[in-house]
Amino acid sequence: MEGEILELRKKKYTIDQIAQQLGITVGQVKYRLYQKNGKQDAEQPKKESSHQTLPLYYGELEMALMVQGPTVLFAYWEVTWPVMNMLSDYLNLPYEYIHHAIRLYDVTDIWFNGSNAHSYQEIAIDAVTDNWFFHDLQPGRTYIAERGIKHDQQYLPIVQSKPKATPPNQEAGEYIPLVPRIPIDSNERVKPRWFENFSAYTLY
Amino acid sequence: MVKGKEKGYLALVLHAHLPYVRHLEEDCLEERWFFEAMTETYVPLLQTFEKLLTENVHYRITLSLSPTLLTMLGDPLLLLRYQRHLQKLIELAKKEVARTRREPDINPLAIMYLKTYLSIEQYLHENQFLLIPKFRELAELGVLELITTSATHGFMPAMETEEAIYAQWDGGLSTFEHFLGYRPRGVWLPECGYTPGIDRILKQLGVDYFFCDSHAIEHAKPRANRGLYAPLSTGYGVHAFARDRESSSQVWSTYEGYPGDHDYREYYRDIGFDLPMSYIQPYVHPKGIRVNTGIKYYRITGKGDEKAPYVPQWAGQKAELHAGNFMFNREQQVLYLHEKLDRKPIIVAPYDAELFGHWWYEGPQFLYHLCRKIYFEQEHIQMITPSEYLEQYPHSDTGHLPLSSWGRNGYGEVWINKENAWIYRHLHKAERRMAELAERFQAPSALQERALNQALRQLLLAQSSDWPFIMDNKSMVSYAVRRVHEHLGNFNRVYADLMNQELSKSWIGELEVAWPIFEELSYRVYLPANEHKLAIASSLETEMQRSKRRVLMLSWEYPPKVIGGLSRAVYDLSRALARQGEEVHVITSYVHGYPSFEQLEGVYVHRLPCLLESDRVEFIDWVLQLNIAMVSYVESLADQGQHFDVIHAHDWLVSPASRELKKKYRIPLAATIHATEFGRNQGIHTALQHQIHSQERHLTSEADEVIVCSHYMQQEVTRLFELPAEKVKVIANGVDPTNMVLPEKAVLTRSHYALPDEKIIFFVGRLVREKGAQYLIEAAPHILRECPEAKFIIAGKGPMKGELEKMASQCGVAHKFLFTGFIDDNERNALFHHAYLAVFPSLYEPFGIVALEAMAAQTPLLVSDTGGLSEIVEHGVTGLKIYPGLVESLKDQLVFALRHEQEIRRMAEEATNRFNQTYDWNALAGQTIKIYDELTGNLVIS
Repeated sequence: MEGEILELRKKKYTIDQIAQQLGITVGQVKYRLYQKNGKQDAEQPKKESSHQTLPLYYGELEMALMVQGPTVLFAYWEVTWPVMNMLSDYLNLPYEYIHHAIRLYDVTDIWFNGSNAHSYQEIAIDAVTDNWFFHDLQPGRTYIAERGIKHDQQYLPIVQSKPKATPPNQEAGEYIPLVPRIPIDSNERVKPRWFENFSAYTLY
Repeated sequence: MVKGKEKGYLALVLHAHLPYVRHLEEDCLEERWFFEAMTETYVPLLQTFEKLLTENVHYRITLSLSPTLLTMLGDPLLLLRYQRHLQKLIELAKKEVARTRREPDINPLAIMYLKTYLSIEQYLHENQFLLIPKFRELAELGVLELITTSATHGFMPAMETEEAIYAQWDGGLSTFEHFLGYRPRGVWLPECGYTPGIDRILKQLGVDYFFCDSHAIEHAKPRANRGLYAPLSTGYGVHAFARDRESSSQVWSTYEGYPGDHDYREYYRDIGFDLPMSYIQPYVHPKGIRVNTGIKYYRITGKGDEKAPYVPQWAGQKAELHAGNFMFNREQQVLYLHEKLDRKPIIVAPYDAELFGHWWYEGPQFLYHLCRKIYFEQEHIQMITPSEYLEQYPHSDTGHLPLSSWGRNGYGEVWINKENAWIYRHLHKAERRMAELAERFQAPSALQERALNQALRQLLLAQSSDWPFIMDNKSMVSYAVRRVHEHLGNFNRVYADLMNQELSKSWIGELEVAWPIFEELSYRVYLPANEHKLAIASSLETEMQRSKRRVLMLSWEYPPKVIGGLSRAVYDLSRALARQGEEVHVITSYVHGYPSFEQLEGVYVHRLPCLLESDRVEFIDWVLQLNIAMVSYVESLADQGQHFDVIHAHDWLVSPASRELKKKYRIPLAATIHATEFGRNQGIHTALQHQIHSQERHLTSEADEVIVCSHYMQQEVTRLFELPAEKVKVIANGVDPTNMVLPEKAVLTRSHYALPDEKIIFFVGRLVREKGAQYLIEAAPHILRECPEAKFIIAGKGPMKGELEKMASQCGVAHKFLFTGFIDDNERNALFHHAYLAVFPSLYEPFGIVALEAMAAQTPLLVSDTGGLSEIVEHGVTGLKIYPGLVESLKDQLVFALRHEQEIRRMAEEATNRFNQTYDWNALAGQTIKIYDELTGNLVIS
């Protein structure tokens, strides 16, 4: 199995594609690659291996939400080992026995504080799932995605995305206020006046 | 036609783009994309444009030349290879003329191809194979308006940061300027991919207009009064020209579109696939992979597989017919719209340039006939460029455009789906890393600068919308996957080498040679847009530069957040450590209204927000959130090259984070236990207490050194957590005397608190059982009987406040008690000053910082003989002591104190001396540094 995985990996297949090809789960692929890579690192200079292959993990707790269209959003995330350990310790359960979930909150026009969303959907996932397509959403709404765990019917968040807005997909209604024109001189950085799905990078 | 009579306009827009494909190794299959487009589209289009000019046809076409295509059109290596390719093609065409001499249907076609190729070769030789100057000439003559697109045709709605979008545009516009000598007035949005905010960036870069798909205008807010037939301005003043649906589908549509006509040439019957390998081998890929040669002998014929030979004359007639039909439809549109609109409508008809000639062989002929017919055969429409239209109508209505594209179903489906979405995790990470590099390396060395420019180049190349498009399309997928891996792999290596100062000059040189694109572009286009945010990681010294030991101090509270004594102690210690040359970073919880990062009296304070607000969830769940936030924050600092030498954790609340960070980064851990859950509750009684107790156990067990504030605590901690005695060190707490200074204007006069002849007995602390205020009330009636001049001031808040007040009135001493509630430092200092005696009758006191405060303020002191208090106060020398919880003892000592003012004043003086010798923070910090030295092996250069 390892051989086949590495063979496909060499052909630049993604983890998902390998899993699909071999009919095993994404987690199984990652586990085997993780084991294999660990061994390889010791034998080979790092440079050779990092040249062409993208890392499986970046060691950063993060969640991103992307807009595919008016009714579809795509989320990806990464949970790091230390966080897995802390959760596991906290619940006194092996990580893979924890009930994992993701949530998508409708936060249109509100300052979200964790509990004031208009509505949310919750999806149970397994521990190794690291991306999701949300379908059948509402156009013209703002959403925040969140990765969390469930414990005693209670939900605890781990990491959250930035808000992203789905585009409207029909003609605007009546009585929409006019849009003021913001004067801009070229060559000058201007701060956004309206909501944008991208944002300036914040360095820590 | 006579100018001025027109009722509306047609803007024909061609967008020419190919991804950057240029490999040092020969015979890359994908390089043929460029060769095919040269032969079939770019040269034929130029020939068409020039022919129209020689025939005195006035026409207007807007042509977008992508920066990657421009670079390839100017690349000597690619042009040399193309020249060889063309020679082979001519050779093949000659062979074909000979081979087909007995096939009367086919032979004329072979001759046609040969003639075409020879004319192309001649055209190219006349122009030294350089097409860009030809396009520029046509632009100067006014028949073409040249525009461009973003650097590598990145799909903007899939990008995460403003910096990425800005760099794509700046890179695109400056590349255009490099090749054409001026900046274009408008741009082509890659894939018509719009997301709100792109307009803001375009405007900053001096762009006046762009093109979008129909529904971007149809769904704009508020509704666009003129619909698709006049540009709509965005809020930032960029004009959006919308694609006209009808003219689009007439050309694009597989079913009703012109290119599907049965007389047109069939694209999929190429001799590269039809002829025997033995014959065609020299003209396909050397490895024997069949490819399109461009020589195709059949017409579409019908839906079936049976194809009839191509008849150029019929196809030419159809092209003219279709041009006429297209024009007729536009005329009808304009006549209709002209009645409805308050200005002359503009119909925008944009197409991929490669459709004309490459996919739709007769496309250039269609354009030729269309331009002629519009000029010679009608009066209603005139061709126009967007710039000319904006000259005539400089003002557009304003509205918000929604996210949109011209891809399948109108949004991001083609570029963000199950086949290709995996790339964005890596692309987004690279965007952030690039911004970080730009911020960090503002004054790079020559080699660093070259490396930074390479990083930018590799990232831009990875961002091409072509790669996810190909993955979606499911043909040539492996090439697209390889390119994404290659560019991001290169990017990641440059990033790592820059951060680790391991740059290889030869490797950077190799990259420069391998990817000669955007050579004028500086990595500085990625400088973070948001200058208002303090860039923490980059404001610190890099690993190589720094000389100080870096201490990671974790504490859940830090001023201005002050819940218990912990906050103050960590505050004083961290400042004293910083004064003595340690680089201290306090990571703590966010306080609304305070900066998330600041340098405060030499200490770096990082305040982290949590996903849950502490008042909305169980405290213990909030603590978990805080620990997750702390770990991920330190991880991202580490990711940016910021590492720590020692962790100093304070109390159980930061136990999980400090343990995980110790394990992950293999840094030594010191843990200060300020109080134990067992001590606070005189035992462990509830599940929550048990949870906290085990966090303390884990923390002390994982820590390399445990620090406590008193010998009493040393015993307690060693016993409770079964620790080896030598692991637990005592370092007392201190008090900063500057915090004990009496406010200059003592607004808080004594008369606020007591009558002139009363003696103030002062208690300050949380009103909880363990602090013992209740004993003071119990003892009060007895004391007052003997010393009626006593007046009790109880300062502080807590769960027992109400109970204590009730108790005072039940004991009949309410008039002698004043409950002040919470007091600030000034009021506390004033009360220490006014107090005759400070009393702390605690049951449990790990340390007893209040006693130190009294000592610093030179206030006589009476304390319980318990915990840390008993170590601070020496009975009869620096203060008085009582048995904890014994009212009788409290009464006796209080009465003694009230009757022996001189003696207790002398004790207070001695206490102040003792304080100055032992509890000075500088001395205490020195003891802490010794522990750090032991842990880090004093590795640090000092």
